Amino acid sequence: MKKLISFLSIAVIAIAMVGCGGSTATPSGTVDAYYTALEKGDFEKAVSYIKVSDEGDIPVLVGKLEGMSQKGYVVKSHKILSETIAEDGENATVEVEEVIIEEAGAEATTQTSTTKVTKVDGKWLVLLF
Amino acid sequence: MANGLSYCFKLLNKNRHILMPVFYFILLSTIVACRPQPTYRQLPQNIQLRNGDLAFRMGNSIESAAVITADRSTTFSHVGIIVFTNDNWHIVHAVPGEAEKGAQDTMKMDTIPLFFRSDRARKCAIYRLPVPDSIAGKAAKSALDFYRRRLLFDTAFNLEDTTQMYCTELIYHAYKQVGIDVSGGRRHTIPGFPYPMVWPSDLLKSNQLELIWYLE
Repeated sequence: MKKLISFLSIAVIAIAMVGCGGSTATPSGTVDAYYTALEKGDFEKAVSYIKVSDEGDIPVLVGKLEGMSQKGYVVKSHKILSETIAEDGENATVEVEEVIIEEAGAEATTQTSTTKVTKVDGKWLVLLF
Repeated sequence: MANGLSYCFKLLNKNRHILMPVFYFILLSTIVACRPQPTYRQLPQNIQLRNGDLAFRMGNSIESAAVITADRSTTFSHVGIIVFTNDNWHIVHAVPGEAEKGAQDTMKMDTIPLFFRSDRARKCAIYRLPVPDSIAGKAAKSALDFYRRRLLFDTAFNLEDTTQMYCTELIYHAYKQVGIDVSGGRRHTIPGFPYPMVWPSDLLKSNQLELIWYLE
């Protein structure tokens, strides 16, 4: 019984630690979560990983993602290739391989892009460029 | 007493096929009647508008309030341009989701009270660019031309494609026609997506705009 309680306690602490850090604890984690939300079509969640300097820009951002989606633009899959954190520890770049369908019925294309991220209040957020 | 109640319940139960629709009708009517009606906001009479003035609003949409990010210095999520036509001041703007039922999202021309209606705007402002009246007037005329061409709302948010327009794109191209870059060269590209965008906040950051009217 004691072993079971110890195991459960460790499990709870581990889950809590992962939960507190969340996907924004690392540059790659943020970029991965951002692209995963795009793939799922959860645009509000995707935008929540972007650093926006003005709340008024958020509906415009979400509108853009929804609009492109209506036109058949799809981020089909992605793969994180590398992560480089700058010396200041506040900025980073993440290389991503994206598989994209540009319009309904089009062939999927693969491209590599660099996503910049920055640390805000301990969380890594995607920067627009 | 108990017999009386029992009789009432029996009577209600017997006639429920009539009473339930009546009940739902009364409930629905009450809900509709109690819902607050939107307010059409009039400008104060001392406000002197000019063709080419910019009308900003912060929407009431779910997206406007739902997402929390780093810096929440709220400004505005939508912008239109003021034109005087048909003996009245109007706002020409490009917006999705406000077309008549079944119609396409083409550019719109609304009266000022409709543009700033309380269910569409929780914050309103009118700003003026520091340019001569003649220049601002020509920009307003360009916007009116775009409106008369019934251009569709640009769901791709492609700044360079002038066959469709989004809100800031309309202002950008209306003033570009008279040689003014209202964006100050500011652009934002979303990772994973093509076409850089210009936001309403870029217009406020990039110009020495004069505040004409503000309401929150």
